[in-house]
Amino acid sequence: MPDTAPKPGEPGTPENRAALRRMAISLGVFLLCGGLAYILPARFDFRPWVPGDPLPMKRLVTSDWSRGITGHGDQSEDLKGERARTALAADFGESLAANLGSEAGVEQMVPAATQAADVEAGRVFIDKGELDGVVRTVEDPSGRALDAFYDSLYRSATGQKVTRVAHWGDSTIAADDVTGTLRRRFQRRFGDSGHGFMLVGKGTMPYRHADVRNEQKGGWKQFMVIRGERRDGRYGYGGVSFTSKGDGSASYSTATGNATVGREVSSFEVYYLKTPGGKSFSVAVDGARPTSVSTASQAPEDAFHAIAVTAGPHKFDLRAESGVTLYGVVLEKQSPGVVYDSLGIVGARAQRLQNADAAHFAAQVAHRGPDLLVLAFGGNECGDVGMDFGVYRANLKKTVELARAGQPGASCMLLAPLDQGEVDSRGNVRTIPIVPKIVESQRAVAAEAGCAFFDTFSAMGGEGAMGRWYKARPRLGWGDYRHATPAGYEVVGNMIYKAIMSGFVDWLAAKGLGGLSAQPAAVPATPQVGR
Amino acid sequence: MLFQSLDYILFLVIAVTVFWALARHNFLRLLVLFLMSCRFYMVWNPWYIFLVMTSAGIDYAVGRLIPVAKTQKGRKALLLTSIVSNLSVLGIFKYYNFFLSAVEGGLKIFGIEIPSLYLNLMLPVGISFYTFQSMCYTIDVYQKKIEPVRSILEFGAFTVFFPSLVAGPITKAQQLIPQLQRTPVLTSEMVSTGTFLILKGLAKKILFADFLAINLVDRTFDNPAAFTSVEMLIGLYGYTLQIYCDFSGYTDVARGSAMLLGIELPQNFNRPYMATSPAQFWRRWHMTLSSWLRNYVYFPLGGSHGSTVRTYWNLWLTFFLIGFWHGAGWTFVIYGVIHGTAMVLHRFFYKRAGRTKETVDPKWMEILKIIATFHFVVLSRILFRSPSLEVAGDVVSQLGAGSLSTAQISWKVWLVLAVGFGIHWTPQKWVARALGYYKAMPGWGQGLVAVGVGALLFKLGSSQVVPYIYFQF
Repeated sequence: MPDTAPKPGEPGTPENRAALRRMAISLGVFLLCGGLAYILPARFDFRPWVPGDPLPMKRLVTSDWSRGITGHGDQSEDLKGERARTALAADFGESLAANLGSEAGVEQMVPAATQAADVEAGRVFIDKGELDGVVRTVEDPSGRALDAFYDSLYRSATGQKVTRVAHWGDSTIAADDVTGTLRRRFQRRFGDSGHGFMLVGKGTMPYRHADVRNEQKGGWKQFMVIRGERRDGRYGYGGVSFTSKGDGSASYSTATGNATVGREVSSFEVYYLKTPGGKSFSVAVDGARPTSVSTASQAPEDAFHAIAVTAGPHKFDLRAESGVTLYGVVLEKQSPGVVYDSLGIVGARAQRLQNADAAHFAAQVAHRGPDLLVLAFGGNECGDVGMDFGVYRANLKKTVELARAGQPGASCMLLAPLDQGEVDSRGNVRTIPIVPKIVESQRAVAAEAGCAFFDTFSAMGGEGAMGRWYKARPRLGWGDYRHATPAGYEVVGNMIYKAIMSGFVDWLAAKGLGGLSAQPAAVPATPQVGR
Repeated sequence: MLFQSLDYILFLVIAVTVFWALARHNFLRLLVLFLMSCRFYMVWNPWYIFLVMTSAGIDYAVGRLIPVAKTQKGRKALLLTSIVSNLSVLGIFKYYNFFLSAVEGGLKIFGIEIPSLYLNLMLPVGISFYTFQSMCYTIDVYQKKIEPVRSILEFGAFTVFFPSLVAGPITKAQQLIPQLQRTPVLTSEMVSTGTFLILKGLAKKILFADFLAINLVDRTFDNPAAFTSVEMLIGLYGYTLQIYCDFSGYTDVARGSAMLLGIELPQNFNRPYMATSPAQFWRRWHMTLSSWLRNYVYFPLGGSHGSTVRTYWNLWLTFFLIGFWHGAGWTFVIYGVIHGTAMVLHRFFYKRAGRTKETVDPKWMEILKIIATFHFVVLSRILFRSPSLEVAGDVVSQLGAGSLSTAQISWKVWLVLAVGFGIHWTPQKWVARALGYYKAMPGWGQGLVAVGVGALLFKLGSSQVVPYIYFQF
């Protein structure tokens, strides 16, 4: 006869009743304590749901049949091309999505043909498609802040000169994602005049450059302007000088592979320091016999050693004897176009550029001869509790003057910091309150100094933008809510480029030198994210 | 609906309450379990419930027809129908675009262009888990290991059982179906173990996995060039801990939830980073997948009963498939190749050294083996985590750059890594002891522990909901 007695734990048995009682009591205590968070104001922080939030379980009682089964759907970080752009457009709108990717969804430019047409007509037209997704324009109360730069750009477009941009900044710049995007965009439109200035070593990580290969070997001692490590204040144009410990070497090569810019160079120039009793450094191109350069002089002085080569792909090696101090190397191609110097230092604050000797820094800038000076600071200052904004504005203005001293005729532009978020007691990511204040201070200083201003913070979406950028797929913001991902930096770079180009179109039209082309876009390019 | 959400906690409370209220009524209990499981799955995308149902419907029908098939040929044809339909679903939704791109790339080398026939389909959540689970039922019926299920409701509840539906553990029909069919059992010990597992799983996910993802791993893989070699290596250690806490945390919650419904799901992890060889690693990591492939691929291929070469091939193929199961991409192909090759090499040297299961190593040798196996796993996971081969190459080149700074690793990250690995490498009996203390508590005490853990997770957890890594598979 089968055993029909219930097993321990089956419904109705004492074991089962005890188990259910235990579960009910545990749950009761849990719910009771959870309920206290709604009664005691001091415990409001622990409320798992607050009025105003979507109702709990709402998703369980409603179904979104409209989603269908097509689309990217996944949470992969590897969203690329059109899928990435579509995903971003769904969350942030078409304008911001149009800034995604190194080509940012606008047509491939054909610099040679375009320039040929520009030269012939003496008029420059910017294709409408190139301005797709202008999120925000450059602010310029004076209406003339970028005139010198636009004039130079016009002359580059018509084959008359090289336009140089110097872009100093903090960690948002150091990895060359924002500046790399700007470089590619300008060079594809106006011509590739070379990669520009690079430090001898890596500075503070991350320090890298897109579309060029550089390597540092052996022992170097680095001196950073942001730490005020040199008594003589000589940090060079890039803010970091390197002194060889005896076996210091570095090499720079033009881009290979799929790179669209940076593939050719026609001159290398070493920025260095001469000192009494200074030893030598050697330079060699394409593995040829090295040439020795002495750094000896009567008194400390800055010097420059240039080597011209036939335009093409090249490799440049330098090796320094013990005690030799170098500031950096410039790679340029002597053909009309744009060269964009990325000069970011992790941890930098605008004020700390003032650790440099003013005359030395001015001479460095003067020698480099940029047509546009860009200052992108404020990210590190966002952590300053109790900041005196009067002092901050005064210091920022002083730094602007320091940079302009070497090139008074150049345009200047300030870039606001990216949004920075913090998690509030409700678990939402909100903007750190100091960020908008810093933005306002920078806006005021730019207006006062006659510089242009680009409000990166607002372009990103303003209040809480970094939280939304973090949630975006592909991800645009990092989980520290302070930095952007490479894809996010590309978006920032494209937004700045389009803002500048929008102003350039207006300038061309006002001068009767061209303007916006009504021609339809040429061959559409496939947008790309990351590298 | 993610396990670490308020929605899931409320859903579980309702599910458990209704389940036990209807515990005496088999049909109603299973109907509620089935409907709630379907509802749970439909939160991601309601359309895909039809895919699950279609797959389940075919397997149910095949299961019923196999025993009544008159010939062996007919039985085989039916089994083949089930396997082909399940693998087709997997193939179309998961692998089709990858294979097409491989073919396209291959033909391009010879200058042949083919029209773009890519499918723009969302990957159904948990597709690799439920197709494998459902498929093993028909294979078991074919092999006469189990009797076919007569009730379609029982089979439906088996297929969509919500705790294990989206990321396992992959539970064999012979383990789960009898538990669904019988009158459910719940004891105080099961309640204690279940809630303990849920709390442990949530802590693993929120305190370790999500924290490391946001503050270390995503950053290093987003931009490898921005980190030094040592920071990159720490990022890899971080990912190794993250993925363990993420997946085993999910499994703990799944097993705990099931236990509150009186169902015991199989263990899926057994301190994998204490493995002394790749073979042992796979006996400790995602154990239900390894066991599935061993039972349904390795053994049917002949296992170790054929020639030496054949054995090595069977072994290699099985572990290659484990890699490829995770995703359709070259990174997973290479990941599978690396693990398959490691298994072959391990077996080769193991046999050559004349070792047996009884061979005991000195303690220092065991520690060395743990370190070596751990680093093999850490480094192979570069491919697992990298979204593309290009990124994997960047990570490798950054590892080899020789830069030593750790300036970008915050003290919080150091702390989480130290505590996480510390717990993993402490004696297992400590966890058993903690569970013992928890079980000995009265119900209100366990409730207070849950309140304390919940408050801690609420305060320390990230505001960002990070999806489980294995949901994408």
